[in-house]
Amino acid sequence: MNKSTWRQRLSYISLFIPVRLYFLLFLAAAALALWWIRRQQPVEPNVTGDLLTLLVKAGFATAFLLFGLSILSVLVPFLWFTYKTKTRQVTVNIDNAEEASSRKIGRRINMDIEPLLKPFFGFLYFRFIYDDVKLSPKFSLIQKKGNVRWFSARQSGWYHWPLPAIREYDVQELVVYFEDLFQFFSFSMRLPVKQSFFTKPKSLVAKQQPISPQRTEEENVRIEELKRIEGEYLNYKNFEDNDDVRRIVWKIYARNKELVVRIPETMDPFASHIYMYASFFDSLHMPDNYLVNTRGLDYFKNACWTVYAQLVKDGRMVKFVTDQPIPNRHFSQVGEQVEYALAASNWHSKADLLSIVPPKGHALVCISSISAATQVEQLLQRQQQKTTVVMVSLSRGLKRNMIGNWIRWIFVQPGSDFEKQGFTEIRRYSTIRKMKSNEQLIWDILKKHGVPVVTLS
Amino acid sequence: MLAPRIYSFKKLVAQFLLLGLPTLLLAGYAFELANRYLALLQNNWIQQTLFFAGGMIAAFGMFSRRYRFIPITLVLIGILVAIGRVVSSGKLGEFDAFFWSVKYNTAAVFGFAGWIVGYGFSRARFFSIAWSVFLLAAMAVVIASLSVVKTQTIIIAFAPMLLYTFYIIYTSELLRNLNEDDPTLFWQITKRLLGFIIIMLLIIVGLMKYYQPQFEIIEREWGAGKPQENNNPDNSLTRNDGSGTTTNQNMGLSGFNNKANKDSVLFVAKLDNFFPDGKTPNPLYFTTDYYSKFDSETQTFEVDSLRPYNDLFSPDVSKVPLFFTKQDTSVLSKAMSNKHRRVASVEVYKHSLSARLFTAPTTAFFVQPISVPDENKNIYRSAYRAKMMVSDLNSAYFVYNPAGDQGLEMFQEQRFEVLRNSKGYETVPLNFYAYYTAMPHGNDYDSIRSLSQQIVKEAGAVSAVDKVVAIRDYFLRKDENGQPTFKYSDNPGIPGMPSANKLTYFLFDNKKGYCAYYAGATLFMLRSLGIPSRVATGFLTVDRSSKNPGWYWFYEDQAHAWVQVYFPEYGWIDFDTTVPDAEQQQAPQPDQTPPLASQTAWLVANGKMLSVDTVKKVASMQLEKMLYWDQPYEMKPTQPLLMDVSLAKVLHDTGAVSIHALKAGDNIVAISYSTTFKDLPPLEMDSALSLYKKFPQPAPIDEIKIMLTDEEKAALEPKQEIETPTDWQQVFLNVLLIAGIVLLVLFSMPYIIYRWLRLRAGGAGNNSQKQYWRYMATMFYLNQMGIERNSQTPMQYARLTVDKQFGTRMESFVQLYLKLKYSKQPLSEQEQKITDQFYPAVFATVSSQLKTGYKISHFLNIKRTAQFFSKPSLYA
Repeated sequence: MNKSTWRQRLSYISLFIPVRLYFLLFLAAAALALWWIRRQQPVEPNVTGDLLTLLVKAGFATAFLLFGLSILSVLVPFLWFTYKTKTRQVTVNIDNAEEASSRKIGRRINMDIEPLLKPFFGFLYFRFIYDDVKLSPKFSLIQKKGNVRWFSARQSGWYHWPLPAIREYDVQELVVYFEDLFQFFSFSMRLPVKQSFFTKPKSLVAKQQPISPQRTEEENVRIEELKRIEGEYLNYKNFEDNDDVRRIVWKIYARNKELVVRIPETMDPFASHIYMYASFFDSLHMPDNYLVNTRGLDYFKNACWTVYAQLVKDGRMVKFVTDQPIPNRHFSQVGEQVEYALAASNWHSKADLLSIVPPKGHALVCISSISAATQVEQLLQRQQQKTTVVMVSLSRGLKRNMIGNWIRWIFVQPGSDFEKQGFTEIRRYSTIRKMKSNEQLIWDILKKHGVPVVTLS
Repeated sequence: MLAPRIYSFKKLVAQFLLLGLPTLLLAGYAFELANRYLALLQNNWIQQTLFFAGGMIAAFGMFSRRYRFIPITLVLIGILVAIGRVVSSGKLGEFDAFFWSVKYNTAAVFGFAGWIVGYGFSRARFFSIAWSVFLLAAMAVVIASLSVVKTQTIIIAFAPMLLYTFYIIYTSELLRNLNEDDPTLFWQITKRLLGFIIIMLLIIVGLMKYYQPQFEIIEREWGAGKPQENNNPDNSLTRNDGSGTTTNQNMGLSGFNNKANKDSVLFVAKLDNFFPDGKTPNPLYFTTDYYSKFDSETQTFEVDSLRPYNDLFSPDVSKVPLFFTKQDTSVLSKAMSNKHRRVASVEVYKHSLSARLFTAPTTAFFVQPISVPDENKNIYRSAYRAKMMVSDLNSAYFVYNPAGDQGLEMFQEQRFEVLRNSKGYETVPLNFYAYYTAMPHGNDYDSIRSLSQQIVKEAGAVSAVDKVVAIRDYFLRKDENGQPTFKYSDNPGIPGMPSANKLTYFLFDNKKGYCAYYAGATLFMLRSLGIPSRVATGFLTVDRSSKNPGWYWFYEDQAHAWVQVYFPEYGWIDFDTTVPDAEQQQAPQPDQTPPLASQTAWLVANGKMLSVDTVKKVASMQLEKMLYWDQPYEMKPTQPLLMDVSLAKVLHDTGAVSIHALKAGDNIVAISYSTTFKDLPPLEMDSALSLYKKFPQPAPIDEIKIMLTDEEKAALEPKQEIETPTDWQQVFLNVLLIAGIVLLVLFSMPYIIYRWLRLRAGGAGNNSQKQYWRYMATMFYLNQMGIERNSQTPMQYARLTVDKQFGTRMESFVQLYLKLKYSKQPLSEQEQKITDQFYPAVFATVSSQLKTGYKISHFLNIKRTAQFFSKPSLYA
C-alpha cells in the first residue's frame, strides 16, 4: 500500500534537483526549433540567413535575460531563508487542522512561517512529507482576508488538502519551494515539522433496525433524586466525621435517634450499554489489494461510524471496541475517540473475530466481506451469546456497474490514484471475485441463523 | 455521464481569457495573412477564426473535466467524417452539396485545429511550450524570408511574437499551479500578469533597442539593394531543386513589390554607348539573369545555371579586389553573334544595390571594381566598370513598346528591316534550338499555341521578327470602344514569375498584369512559333538626362522583366512587350549630379612596401603584379619600384591616413592616373620587364592603398561576427564536455578526498597529527563504504559496528587515538605498535570482505561524502 507511484518518486527526486521538468521541456523544444531553423537557413550568405541568425539571437537573449532575472529574484530570498534555517531562526506553525467545509473531502491546514520572503518575481510553494515517504500535492498558501501584507517576512495562510482516505496522517516535514517567474527552476528547503491529524469517517444512510441494549454496566453517576425505599437500612450507613451534615436522614433519627446517612447509589442496574465490536480482520489476505485497501477500507469505516452515530443519536450508550492497538490520544468527547479509533484502524491479520468478542453476553459486531465466514458461523453458534451483526458488503463500496464502468473508463480518466477503478487493477480481479464469494457465504450464514442484521443502503 | 471536474469553472474562464483569447487573436492574424498570401478569392478569415474558436472553446469545456483525449477525439473524428459524407452525398442537390461540403470541410478543419489547441492548453503541459516555441521559430523564419528588409517592420512583427511566446509559457504554468480555493483568484492572476507583462515589455523594448543597430546593418547591407530578392524556396515560384538551378538571382520585377520606393535610387550608370552620331546616347536594358527553362512539373519558369550556351557573366563583384579585373571571354562565343557587334563599357555606381550584384547590358564579359571619388563616397558605396559586347541593333528605344509613338516606330522599323535579313534557324545548333524553344504540351499550352498561330496568321507575318512584332501588337490592340484590351496592373498576387495557369488566365481572361506576365506570355507564344527566346530580368533603362548624356539613374521601380529573342548571327536582341501603365505614368525624375567621372587608372601596381622617406616623399615597393592599361602583368622576378608619393593619398580600410602609416612589409596597391603613363601605351611585344624598364623612376603615384591581411580584416570587422551564425552544435558539445568534466570531478571527489587523507596520514610528522589523519582516513573510508556511525560515539562505533562486522581491532586504535587527543601523553612503544598494526591493514581487511561492485557504487556516492563533512544539525 505504501508503494509510491512513479510520479511520487519523481516528485521526491525533484526535492533535490533545482530544475523542473517544464524547463527541460522548454530546452528540448528550443533545441528542436533551433535545429529546424538551421535547416531553413540558406547555405549561401544572404539576407534571410543574416536576419534569421539575428532574430534567433534576439530570441535567446530575451530568454536568457528573463531567466537570469527571475532566477536572481528567487535566489536572494532562497539564500536568505537557507541562512535563517541553518541558524535556526525559522518558526513554523501548523494549525491543528480544522474540518474543512462539508462539501469537500479533506482538511484545511493553517500555516504560519516566519521569516520567509516571497520572491519578488516568483512563487512560493509548499509540500508536506507525511507517513515517511509520501508527498502532499504542491500548494500555495491562500492568505486570510485582512491578513494581506506587502513585503512581509511572514507567510501565513491556509490550504485545503484534499485527503480522500480516512486515516491518520503524520506530517513530518515541510518543503518550501522557491520558484522563478516561469517556474522553470525550483529551489527547495526542507524543514522538520511535527503534526498529525486524521480524517473523520462520514455517516452513510443506514436502514436502522431497533437494536436493544444488551449489557448492563456500572455507571458512576450519583443519583440526585431521593428515592423512597422501604425495608432494612441497606442503603444507609452510620454518620462519620467527614460526612456531609446535610445528608443525615432526619426521619430515621426521629424514629430511633441514630445518625445515618444515605449511601450514594453507584450501581445502575439496568441494561443500558451496547458493546460494539468492529472487526478489521482480513481472512482473505489482501493486504496489497489496492481497492480493498482504499475504497473498501473507507467504506467499512464509514459504515461502522454510521451505525455508531445512529445509536448515539438514539440516546444509546455505545462502547466501541476496536480490535487493534491504537495510539493513545486524549479526546474530550467519546465520539471523537471513536472517530479517531476508526480512522487509525487498518486491515490486519492478528486478532480474529472470535478473540475480540467475549464468549458471553450480547454484542453488536461489525464484520466485512473479508471476515472469516467460519468464524462468523462459530460466533453465531455460541450458546451464551446474543449477537447483532452489522454486515458491511465491501463490494458495494467498490463500483457495482461493471460494464458501465468499462465504458466510462474508456472516456473518463480516473482522478487520483485513490479513485482508480478496477480496470487498472485487472490482475487483482480474481481476488475481488474471491472477496465477493466470501461475502455471499457470510450472507448465507447470517440468513441461516436468522440473526438480526443491520444493513446499509 | 458527466465526468468530474479537474479544475473549477473559475479556472476554466481564466484559461479561456488568458490563453485562448491571445491565441485567437494570433490565429485570426495568421489566417488573414495566409488567405492573402495564398491569394484565395474570398478572404474568410473571420469565419475561419470563429470555427477555430468554436473548436477551442469546446475543447476547453470538455477537458476541464476528466475526459480522455484520444478516445473522445477519435469519436469526434468519426462524427465529423460521417457528417462530411452525408453533406457531400448530394442529397441536397449537386451544387448545394459541393457548396456545403466545402463550407463544412473548412469548418471541420479549423474547428478541429482549435480543438487540438484547446486540449493542449487545458491538459498537455508540453503543448504550450512546444506551441509557443515553434510558433516563434516559424515566425522568425517567415520574417527573415519577407521581402521587406526594414528594421521597423521586422521589429514590429517580431516583438509581439516574442511577447506572446513567453507570455504563453508563463501563463500556462501559472494557471496550472494556482490554488483554486483562493477567493481572490482573479486578482492574484491579474496582479501577476501585470507584473509579468511590464517586465517583458521592458526587456523586449530594451533588447530591441540594443539590437536595432544590428538590424540596421542588415538593412543597409541587403535592404534596398535587393528589395525583391526572394530567398524562401517555398514562397518562390521558381524551384530550387539543387540540380544547378538557383533562385538567388531572382531579381524583382516591377509590380512585384507594390511598396517599391520610387524615389530610392539603386544605382547610377554611365553607359558608353552612343548612336553613330557620337552624341545621342543609346540606352540599353541592364540584365541580371535569365529565365530560360520551363519546368512543366511545377509549371514555373526557372533560372537554370546549366542552360546550354550560357552567355551570362555574373561575377560576385565584391570579391574582386579593387582595380583588378575579372573577365570571361568564353561568354562571347556562347552568345553566338558576329554581326553589328562592338564593345561598349559602363561604369556602375551603386547606391543601395547589393555590393555583390553585377548588372550590365547583355553580353558583359569584363568587370573591374573601381574606387568611388571621395566627394561621392557618402552617396555611392561601391562602383565597378564593365565591358560588354553589345549589338548595334539593341537599344532601349528599340526595346520600348512604342505604343503609338511614331518616331519610335520609324526607328524600330529600320532595325526590323535589318533583322528580316537574318538567316533561318536551320543553322542554329540543334540542342540550342531545342532548349530555347522548349514548351510543354497540354490544354493550356495548346490554347496558347493556337492563339499565337492565329495572331501570326492575321498579321501575315513570315519572318521571325515580324512574328515578334505581331505578338507585341497583339498586346497593344484596342477593343471596339477604343480601350486597350491588355492593361498594366500591379497585381497583388504572389510575387515572382507567374506560373503557367496564371499566364493562361492572364492571356485569355484577366488581361491584366505586370511585366513578368507580359514577358512570360510572350515567351510562350514565341516558343510555340519556334522562335528561340528567354525571359531576361534586370533593369529598365530610361534616358532622362539632357545635361549629362550617357548617365542613367536606376530607381527601385525600374526592376523589370522582358523577352530576349535570338536571331542567327545577330545574337540575343531585347524585346519588351509590356504595355505602358495607363494609370501611372513614369514621372521623370529630376536629374542629380552624376559622380565625378573617375580618372582612368593607367598603372595599378601590387607588391610589398620596402621603404618610405617621408621627407623626400619618396617610397619604394617590391613590384609583384601590375595592371597596365587594363592589361595584367606578372613581374618575374619581382622588381623594386621607386615611387614619387608627393601627391599620393594613402588609404587604409578605415579611410585616408597620413604617409607615416606606410610601413615596410605592408602589402600595398599603388595607383597612378598620371599622364606620364597615358603617354606610354603598351606595345604588343611588351613584357612586364620591358614595361618596367620604360617606367620613370621614381614613378608618379596618386593613390596608395594599404591592403590588409585576412587577420587584420577580421580584426577590423566586428560585424563579421554577426554574420557567422553561432555553431550551436559546437556550443552544445562544449557544454556537454564541461558538464562531463564537472561530473567526473564530482564523482571522483570521494576517492580524491580519500587519497588526500591517506597522503596526510602518511606524511604527518607529529605523532598526534599522524594518528588524527589515520583516524580521519579510516572513518572516511568506513563512512564511504556505507558503514554508518549514526549517533554512536567513536568507541561504540568501533566496537559495536566495525569490529563486530569485520573482525578488525578498531576499538583499541580509537582508544589510543582518543587518549592521544585528550591526554596529550605520548604513546608507549607497545601502543604505537598497535596503531601501526591497525592502520594500513584496516583498509585491506574491510575491502576484502566487501564485493567490488558494492565498493565502487558506494565510493561514487557523493551524498555520503557530504554527510561525512556536514555537522549534524537539529534540522537534519
